[in-house]
Amino acid sequence: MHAMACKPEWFTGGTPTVNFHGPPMGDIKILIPSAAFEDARVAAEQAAADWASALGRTITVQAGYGTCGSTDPLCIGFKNDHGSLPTDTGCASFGTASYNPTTGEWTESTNIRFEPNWTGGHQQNLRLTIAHELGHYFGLFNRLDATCTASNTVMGAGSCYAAQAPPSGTALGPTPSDAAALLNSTFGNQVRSTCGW
Amino acid sequence: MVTKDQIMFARRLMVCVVISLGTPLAAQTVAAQNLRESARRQLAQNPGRALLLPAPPADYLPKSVEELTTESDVVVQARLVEDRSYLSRNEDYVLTDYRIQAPQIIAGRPSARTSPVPGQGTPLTLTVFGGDVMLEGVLVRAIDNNREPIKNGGQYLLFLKEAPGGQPGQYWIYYGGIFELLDGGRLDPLMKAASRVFHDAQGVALKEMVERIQAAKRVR
Repeated sequence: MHAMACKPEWFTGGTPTVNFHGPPMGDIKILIPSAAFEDARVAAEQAAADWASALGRTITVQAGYGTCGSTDPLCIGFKNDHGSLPTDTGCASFGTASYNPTTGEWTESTNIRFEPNWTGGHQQNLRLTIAHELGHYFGLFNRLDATCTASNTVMGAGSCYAAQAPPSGTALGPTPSDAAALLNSTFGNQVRSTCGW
Repeated sequence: MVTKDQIMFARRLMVCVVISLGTPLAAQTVAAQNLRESARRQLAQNPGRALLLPAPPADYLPKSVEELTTESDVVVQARLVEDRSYLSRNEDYVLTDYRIQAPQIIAGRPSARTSPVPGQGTPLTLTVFGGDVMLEGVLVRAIDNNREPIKNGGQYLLFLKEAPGGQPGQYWIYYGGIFELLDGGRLDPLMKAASRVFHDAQGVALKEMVERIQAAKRVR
């Protein structure tokens, strides 16, 4: 049983219900598609390093520019089409892919989706935004329980492209609570439960 | 005839091309995914199995009925009848259109663009994420897990926003604001996280909700 604050929320759906998530093994790569996304590189590298440390995985932002091959669920790209789908709210989102209905694992590459005019934001806001979207890749949903704060989860709300830095104490990467929700799941890498939290 | 200088120039040019190609292509460059490619691959690798695609997880912070009202373009009570499902412009998602039938406008008014012909209003359409399409012989099923499914022919209270770049009369649900009208006149939000987002709109009667919406529009 975990005695942490901030109730975990998992990104679930389908019939039968599964927890959507990236493959639990293998090196993850993040690809910057073009020079237009260069401003996000350092923030992506920091977010990747934070999640790598939290989960004990290898996550790297590749040098140069490229687009994920669609067959690679270990590859995460960038897009600037947030706002083009009826479900789009907030300032950024996680671009889903098809998934394995038995395990919930992504079977194709996914994307971090920015708004079309996303540039100019403070690097810490970008870092937090990318870390948040990577949290969705790993299977976390937004964590908006009353016990959740900007300092105990990266899966809350943020100001994606604000020019001023986030308030002092804001978690810029996954917190112990975020990592624990993924690492200490009672139900392996499928449907996770909030039992015990 | 090719001169020695020309051969040397061609060699130097090739070296430059190789260098210029090699540097930016340190990362893998492959065509981006679309559902048509995915369907072809599914047919080859898992014949007979549907391709399943969830919606991006939506970020909803708490919002009051008053905020929903003032931020929406129009609020209507209407029957939703499924029309068609199709691929998004980039062929990377599936969308479904519902006809908004017999709409009772509660607040706002549909854009002037919806009536291009005098006396003949353009029908209103609700476009949502999700639906089933057959692609390359494969069933592609997209589901919006942020909300419960829409019942074909059901009565709903809808907070709508004009679809950006859409057709005249085409709307999206604003901020998850779709409520099913139940027998007995109560409203049930379709959003799964509704208890956290719509604190003041749980199990509210339609009559009370309409009064609050109209009051909010007056204040605006």
